[in-house]
Amino acid sequence: MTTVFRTARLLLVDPASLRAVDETEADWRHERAEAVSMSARVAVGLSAVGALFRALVLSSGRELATVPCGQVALRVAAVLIPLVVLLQSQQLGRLYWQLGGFRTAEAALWLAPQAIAVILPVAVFYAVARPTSRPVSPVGLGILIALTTFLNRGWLVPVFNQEFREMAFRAFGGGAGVTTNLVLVRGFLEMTFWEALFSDEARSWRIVADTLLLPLVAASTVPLAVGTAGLGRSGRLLTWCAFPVGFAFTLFLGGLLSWLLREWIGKGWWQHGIDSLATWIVLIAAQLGAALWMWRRLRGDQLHPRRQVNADRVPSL
Amino acid sequence: VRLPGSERLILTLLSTRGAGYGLELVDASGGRLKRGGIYVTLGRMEEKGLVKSTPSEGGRRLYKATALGERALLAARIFAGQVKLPGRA
Repeated sequence: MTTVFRTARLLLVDPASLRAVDETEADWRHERAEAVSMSARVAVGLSAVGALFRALVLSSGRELATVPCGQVALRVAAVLIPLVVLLQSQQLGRLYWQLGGFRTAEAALWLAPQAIAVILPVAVFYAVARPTSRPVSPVGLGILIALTTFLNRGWLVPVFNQEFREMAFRAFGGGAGVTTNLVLVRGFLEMTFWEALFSDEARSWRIVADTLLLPLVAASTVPLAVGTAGLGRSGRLLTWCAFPVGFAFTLFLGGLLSWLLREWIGKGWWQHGIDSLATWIVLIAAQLGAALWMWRRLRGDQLHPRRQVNADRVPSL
Repeated sequence: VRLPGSERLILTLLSTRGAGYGLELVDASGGRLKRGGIYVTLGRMEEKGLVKSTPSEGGRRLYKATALGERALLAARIFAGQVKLPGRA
């Protein structure tokens, strides 16, 4: 339980939120000292986990308010826009001669949310993995990123995909076989989250699972990035270089696990979504595990992102 | 001072029972205040000056209502019609 409380402290920046967690921990210690049996201690522990979760949820508003949104948004945009353009240029480039400049730019706009959905975790990492004007709250920024990703993946992508299809139909007369598969993943979200969840005829658990887990993937990048920002210069450089390799390798591992699961499980109706589920869960676990390892190794149990201002005292990797 | 329901309940408990720990307030509220969440509310109330706390043993804090908190509670009760102003019918 001590580890749970210390891990929770790592995710907060606001002093009032930290005090709420500290007092919840003090209550747990007080009650544990009075608990005489093992079952009573277990009950006290479970109650403390619930109390901690409630304290974190109720503190999230204050944590959100501490995020230097303008600075982070500018940095995310500075990474995101070139990567999106780069990704799209190789795929839309071949259409340029058929569509012309204006239509290609329009296609790039309609297909941008697809690219953003996948690139955002990487952009968030590079935006936050260096010191900011104010300490970044992992809880606050994680909530912001998760909401943004959910909105993008659950609504913007399918709506913009539809716009792209209509634009392509107008340009090619519908016979050219142009689909939204130009970017990244085949069939990447043709329905909004609500359509995928509530449509009786075309319910898709794969889309539901992806839409719920992708925001968690994006949010799980934040603790790793905040930890990196607290490193020395050489440590930061090393982590910046290692991140894309680790990210790609974890994606590969998740894909491998998905494939193995598909081979084992077969093609029952319940199989839908398990492949992507495995990939995202591996990615989330890897990012959170790496963040926890980094924070503990560098600063021990006393670590807190508030102390990023003392980053020059922190030993490099 | 704006006084939401949870803050009003905490002030009522503190004014009737005297100073207390967060956990005691949760127990005394009969389930209306929740563990963990109460400290976020108490922190907010301390910022407003409605309660003050003193560190106690084991990292716990003892909370008591301030004079401002008592007045805010009285005002809330008057507005709710629970207390009548002297000299009014």
